[in-house]
Amino acid sequence: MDALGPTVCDPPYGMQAPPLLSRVWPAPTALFARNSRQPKPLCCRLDGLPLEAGMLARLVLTPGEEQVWRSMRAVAKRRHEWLLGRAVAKDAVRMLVEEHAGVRLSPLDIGIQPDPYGRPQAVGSWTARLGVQPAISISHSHGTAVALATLGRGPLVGIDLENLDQPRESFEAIAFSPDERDRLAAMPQELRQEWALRLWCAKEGVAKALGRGFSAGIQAFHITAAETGSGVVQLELRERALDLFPHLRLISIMAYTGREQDLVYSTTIQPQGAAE
Amino acid sequence: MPYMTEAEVFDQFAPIVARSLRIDAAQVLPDAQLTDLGAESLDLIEITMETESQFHIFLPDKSILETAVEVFGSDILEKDGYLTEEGKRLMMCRLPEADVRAFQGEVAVKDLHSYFLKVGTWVRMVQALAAHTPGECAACGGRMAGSMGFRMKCARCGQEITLRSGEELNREWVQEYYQREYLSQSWFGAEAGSAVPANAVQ
Repeated sequence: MDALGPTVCDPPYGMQAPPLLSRVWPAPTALFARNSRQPKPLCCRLDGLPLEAGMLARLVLTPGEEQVWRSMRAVAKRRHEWLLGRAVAKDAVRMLVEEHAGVRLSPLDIGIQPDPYGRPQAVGSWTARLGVQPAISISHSHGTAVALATLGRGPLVGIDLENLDQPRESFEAIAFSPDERDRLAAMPQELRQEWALRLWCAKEGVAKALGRGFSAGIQAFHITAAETGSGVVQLELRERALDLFPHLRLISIMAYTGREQDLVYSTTIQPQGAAE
Repeated sequence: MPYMTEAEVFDQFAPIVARSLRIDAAQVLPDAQLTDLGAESLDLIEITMETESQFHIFLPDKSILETAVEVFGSDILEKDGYLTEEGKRLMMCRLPEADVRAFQGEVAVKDLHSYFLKVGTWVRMVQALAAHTPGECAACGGRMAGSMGFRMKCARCGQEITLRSGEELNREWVQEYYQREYLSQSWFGAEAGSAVPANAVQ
C-alpha cells in the first residue's frame, strides 16, 4: 500500500484495477508536448467498443454513471459513444495520475461529471488526497472516442474530432463568417474539405476548452490565422464570448489541428490565468 | 407563410431530422433530444440549414438565455452555472409549455441546454418564427416565395423582403419582458432602479 493510506486506491468491490483499454494517441498533443513550460498533456483514443457494451459499462462506470447510462433514452450510437467517452477519459486520467503520482487508479475511482455548464470534470476523493486535478475534454465521431487530459494549475483543455468520410459541403455558410470563408477559398482546392473541418474543429475545441460551448454563438469564435504547413490555427473571441471571458480580449488562442486517415482533430490547451 | 399548427410543423420537421441523422422518422418524437438521436455538432448545423430553407425562417445562433443575459447584464439571470430566481421566472415565461417542476430547486445551465435540444422545443421555435414569415405580399397580395439568402420574393410583383432573424426577435422579446416584468418590479420593489444594465434599450 502506498504512503497515501489504504483508502485512496484500493481496488473497489474487491476487484483488481482493470487494464487500460485505450491507446495513447500522441499526434494531437505533439505540439504541446514540446512546450516544457506547460504540464505534459495526454491524449487517449478508443476505436469502437473493446467489449460488449454492458460488460464495458460494469467495468468502467461508477454505479451512478452506470445508472445514468442504463436509463439513457438514446439511439445505440449515442449510448455507445457516451460509454466510450467515459472509458477513454478515465484511461487518460489513470495514465496521467500514475505518471504524476505513481498511483494506479481504478476506473471506478474516477467519476466523469459535467459541471453546471456541461464541461466534463474528473472527480473523486483521490483528487484531494493526491493533490491533483486533471482537466479533461472528450470528443467522439463515428465510433471513435478521444480524450485529452492534463494536470497542473487549471489549464483549459478542449479536443474535437470530426470524420471526413461524410462530406458536408453546406455547413460552411453557418459555421464561418465571410472572411473565414474567404480564407478557406484561398486554400488549394485539394485541401479545402479537410481544412473546412479543421477550422470547424478548431472553433469547437476552443469552445469546449472555455467550457461554455457555442452558447455565445459560433461567430463569437473567429479564425484569424490558419497555417496549412504546421496545422496551427489562431482564434480570437468576439461579441458575447468576450463578456464571458474578458481576460481573453486581444488574446490569440491557439488550436493545433491535424489529420490521420479520415479523422480530423483539433486540440487546445489554454493556460490558466488567461481566462477565468 | 400560412399559419402552421405545432403538429404540422412537427410533421415537416421530423423528416428533416431523420434524413440528417439517417434514422427512422418514427424515432423522432417531441420529447427526444437531438443529441440522443445521434446528432453531432455538424448534424445540428445541417438540420438548422435545412429547417431554415424549408420553413423560410432564420434561426437564432445563440440561446434565449444568452440573449437575455446580454440585455439584463451578468449575474442577474444566471450565476456560476445556475439560473437565479429571476432567470427561472424569465424562462418559465418564455417556455410556458415546460413543466414548472423543472424549474424548482437548482437549475443548471446545462439542463436548460438539454431542453433546447428537444425536438418539441425546436418545433415550437420553428412555429413561432414561421409566424413572422409573410405568406402574401404586403404590396399586391401575391404569393411570397423563398429567394436568395434570408429573403422572400413576391411571385407576382417581384417585391423582396428580408426575413427577420430569430436573434432579432429573441432580443425584442427579452427587451419587452425586461421593461414589463423586470424594470416595473424593480421600480416598486426594494431594489428599485438598482440594476439597469447599460445595454438595455430604454
